[in-house]
Amino acid sequence: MDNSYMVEMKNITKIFSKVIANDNVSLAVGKGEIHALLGENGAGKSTLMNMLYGLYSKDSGSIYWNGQEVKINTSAEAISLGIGMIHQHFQLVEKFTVLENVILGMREGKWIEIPKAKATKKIMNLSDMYGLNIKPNELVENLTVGEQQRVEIVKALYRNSNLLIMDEPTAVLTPQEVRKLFDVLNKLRAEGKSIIFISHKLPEVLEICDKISIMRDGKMITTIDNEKSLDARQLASYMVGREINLDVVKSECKLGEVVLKLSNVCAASEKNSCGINDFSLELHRGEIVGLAGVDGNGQTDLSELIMGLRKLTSGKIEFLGEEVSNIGTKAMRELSIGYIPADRLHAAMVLDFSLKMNMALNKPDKAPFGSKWRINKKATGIYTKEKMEQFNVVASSEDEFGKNLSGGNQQKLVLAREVGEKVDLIIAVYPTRGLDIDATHFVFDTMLRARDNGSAVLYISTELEEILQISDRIGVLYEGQLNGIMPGDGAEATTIGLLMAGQKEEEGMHAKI
Amino acid sequence: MNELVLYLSSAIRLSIPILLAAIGVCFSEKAGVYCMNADSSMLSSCFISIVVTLATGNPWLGCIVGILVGGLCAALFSIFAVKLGANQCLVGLAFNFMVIGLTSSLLRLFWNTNGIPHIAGLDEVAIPGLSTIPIIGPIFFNQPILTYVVYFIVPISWYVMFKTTWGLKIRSVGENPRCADTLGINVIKTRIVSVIVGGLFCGFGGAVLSIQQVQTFTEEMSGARGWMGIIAAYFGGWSPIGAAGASFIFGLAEALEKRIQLLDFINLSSYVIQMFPYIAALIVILLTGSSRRHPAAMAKFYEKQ
Amino acid sequence: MQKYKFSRQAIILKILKFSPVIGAFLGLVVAALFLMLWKINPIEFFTELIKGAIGSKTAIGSTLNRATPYMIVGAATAIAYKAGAQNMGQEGQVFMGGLGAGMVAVLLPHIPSPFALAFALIGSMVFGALFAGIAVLFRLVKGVNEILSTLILNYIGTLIVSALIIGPLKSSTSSSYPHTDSFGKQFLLIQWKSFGYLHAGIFIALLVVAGASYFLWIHPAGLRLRMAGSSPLACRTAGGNPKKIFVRAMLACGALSGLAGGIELLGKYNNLRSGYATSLGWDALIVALLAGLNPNGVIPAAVFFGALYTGINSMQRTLGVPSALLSLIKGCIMVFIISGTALQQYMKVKPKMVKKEVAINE
Repeated sequence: MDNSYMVEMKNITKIFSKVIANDNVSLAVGKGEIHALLGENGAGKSTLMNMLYGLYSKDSGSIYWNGQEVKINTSAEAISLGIGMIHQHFQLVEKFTVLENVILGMREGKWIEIPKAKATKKIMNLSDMYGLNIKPNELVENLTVGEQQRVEIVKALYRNSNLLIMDEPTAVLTPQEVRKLFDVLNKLRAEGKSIIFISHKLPEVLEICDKISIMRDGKMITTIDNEKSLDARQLASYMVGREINLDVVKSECKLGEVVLKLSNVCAASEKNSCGINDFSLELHRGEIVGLAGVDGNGQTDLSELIMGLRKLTSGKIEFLGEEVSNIGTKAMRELSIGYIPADRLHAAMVLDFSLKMNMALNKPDKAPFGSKWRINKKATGIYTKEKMEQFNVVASSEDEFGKNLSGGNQQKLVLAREVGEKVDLIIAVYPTRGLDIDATHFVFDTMLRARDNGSAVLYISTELEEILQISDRIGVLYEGQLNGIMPGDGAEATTIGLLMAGQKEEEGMHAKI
Repeated sequence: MNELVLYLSSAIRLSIPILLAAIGVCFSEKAGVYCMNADSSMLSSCFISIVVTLATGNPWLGCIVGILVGGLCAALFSIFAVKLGANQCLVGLAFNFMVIGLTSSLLRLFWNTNGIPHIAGLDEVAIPGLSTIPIIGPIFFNQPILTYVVYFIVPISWYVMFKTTWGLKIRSVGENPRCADTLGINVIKTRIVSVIVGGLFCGFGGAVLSIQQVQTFTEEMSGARGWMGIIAAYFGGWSPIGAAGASFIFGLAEALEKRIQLLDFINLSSYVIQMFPYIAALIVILLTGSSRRHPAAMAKFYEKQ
Repeated sequence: MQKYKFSRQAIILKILKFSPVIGAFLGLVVAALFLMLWKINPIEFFTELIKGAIGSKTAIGSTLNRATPYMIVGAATAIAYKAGAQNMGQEGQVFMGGLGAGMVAVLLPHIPSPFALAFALIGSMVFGALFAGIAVLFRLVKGVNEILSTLILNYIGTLIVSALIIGPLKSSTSSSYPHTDSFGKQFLLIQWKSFGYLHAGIFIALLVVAGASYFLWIHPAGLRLRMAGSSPLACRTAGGNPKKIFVRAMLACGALSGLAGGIELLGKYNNLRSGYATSLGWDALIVALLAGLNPNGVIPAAVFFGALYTGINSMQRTLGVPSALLSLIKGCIMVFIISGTALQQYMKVKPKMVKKEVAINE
């Protein structure tokens, strides 16, 4: 077999009970190469990598490491070969120190005591070599996201990894932290290490990767070299399988009365959130205001604050002119507001309930779902069926359980419930997280239609591209504050990136090219 | 003064079964499994230790078999609670009923209403030199032999839990099993091993209870000691040393219960006196409150794909 | 799409849906095997069991009598668990309930009927709710999980009742066992002597179960309650208050358990004695499990368990079988039922691959 590749996966197939996740997929990664694995959500990238790392078992096909065929049945075997994986959601024990996380699971010779001195030395060597800036005795829960990611990298390097699999590494980083990461990746490549870079962010892939493999619907479509002529449109069409228009058609914005007014609102910070600090915003009918920001800068805080799930410590919230500060979630739910929370699985629906009961979640005692004394199952079922058709929710029936739906369909159901009837205000938090391109565009359509119909939309997302596409105005959330607000037309990604990283708005910032 | 010394000495002696159970609970719960088999492991061990001691005349053998039976009970428990992922609290309760039913029925079958005869038990052994230290000596160093064993067990288990890579593995599996899995640790195996270790400790506690303290077996004799072990571990933050402290409080309550019965001038209904350990348990629970966070992945089912 | 309707896995899953029934049966099998140690063969075991449970009018009456409190507590437990309140304190709450009823009867003996019975039963509900309330307070004020606190409270509850019976509430007449003064007739439930002393509590029980079922599955508040238990975050987002729901569910469970204790006392006895309701709470917990934690299944589950109890007790007299055997059976049944539910989850999570031929048919 060809010895020039570090790893080759040939004709890999993996079937889950109802779905062919990987269909005869082949992938070859050379030494000292950064190889992108591109595809939509659900294309099969994570499945393929999980097999390479021993977390899943393959149904057929073979894997070659440095020319030799190998069987990778457990993560331990993958690690011993020299494969390391850095997951999208970091796999770190928050309560342990960095050192403990790095040496977890490793056998250091015969004595079972934790070898503190020896391990620290090795970690600091690696840290210096790749510019990782590691603090071994710090508790992981006290580190920033960027620092945690570097701990993950050290973990892999400590185990003498030559191949690093990175799953959506830039999803949680600011543009500036992405730069720092790319520096590290370049250093790793220079040392002859290879990186498989799973992403759906086309610009980044085009910037850092040597080769790009694109997957779609479980199949490997093609592998191409990253040449100068390659552009995002081409990659996107490979990903989706047809020519797609990445543009969103937006009609002109017709502003109406102020629907939601936040005046200097503050909310206390809690363990995992930064709170809201002196936030003011006016939302008009007929406009979409997009709030950009890196995850963890107050997105959930703000939406929960508006919906009464968090206490307002100072400031005022007004809805259609009436003050609604601290009236409680129950009262907020009686108003004409559609709320699409960030945590789709646990906050927006009850997985154990049927779809029709999920429709009745907010108002089980109001028509058509029921009355004060009973729930009208039949009427609820009919209503649900209607909405499912309208919103293209794919499921066996309205009695299907919520947990059996795909992510996209779950989100569509939530949309059907929250914006199926006309509402004055829509608050959507990360509405396209985990959705494929079709479902994502469906969300955009829904938001735009609602806006054209006279609703006010607050669209909170981490995906800057989306915000740039559909917002009439764009604001930036940084540490719970509104760090800049500007018109959507002509807004620049780099400017917003700087604001997302905390730089203050200055004169002439928006005029930069 | 002498009274106080005697009181404290018996408090230590009485706290040992709960302390052992608590250490077992520490291992089990640090790995993320509610140690609901504490009482069943203990009670089954109580029974077997006495039976084996009677049959062979050797209390040490009885003790060892008791420990092993405690581990066996825990192994069975782990099949349902860890491998299958059933509701751990309910499985624990079920095991409780089964063991109570088994031991009480076997007691009835083989010993009728006479009950099991008392065994000789293990005497107190005063450690020469150390036991003559004023005050501390008689309290700590005039104890039955098994208590001295436990004096060593506490720091050793603390060391294993917090200073070895094996202890790190156990704790990782309780805090973030998926993380442990990605590093090649076999989560299910580690959890089962922790539960069995927990059961061995609970078994030891049961053996101490029946051989050293009560010197016979009576129906449901473990009382709520298994649950108190859980509470003691909880109070101690699942560290063997903290658990030792909480167990001592339970020992104080039980010693008080026994002593008051001897003092005629305090006229409390015997039922009220029996409440002392349970009230102590409630107080300990209240004091701890929710300030202790369970290991993050407590009782969450873990599956491989 | 792959069809797996007729695969081996699907068949097993269908069978597992009947876990409660299979579990009950397997538990009995284990007991029958165990009893061979007593030289009782399994056929004898089953015949005597059935005879003792429903073989005569007296037996049927006893069975239904025993099933009565099981129904009430079982339905209450189902509601509590559906709300996410893992109440394990039914045993203590039942005892305290009986205490409440007894205290009304003894301390206020001059209440005329028909109020007497009502007051007594209200007293039992208040006592049960207050006792459960202790655990609720622990949870609200200190965040203590209700499993441990209710478990410990069980022991304390039974001890309180015993202490009071030999203390302040002691009867003026002496007797072989400790008890309070006798209750006036106006406090007792109607009994039908000819039908094995079956008492009127059964009607109250049926009402409670019907009410619980209606509340949980038909009333909008029942939906909110189930939301709170299934997904507290979704409940809050939809405007509900999981904390309030938890408190109400626990108190209701305590009150109904207390009611069961009061009914048990006033239906069977004419004074309060220690241990009058031993293991009632625990049995009811298993009944709730047998019923799938659903009021709809409580009636057959309660009757089954009542029959089991009556049967084993009669076997104690006729065959010399130790009553502790019931405990063993209880445990085994529980284990089998719980494993059945767990297996269902387990198999759904690890689906087996279906034969390739089916895929080709697409």
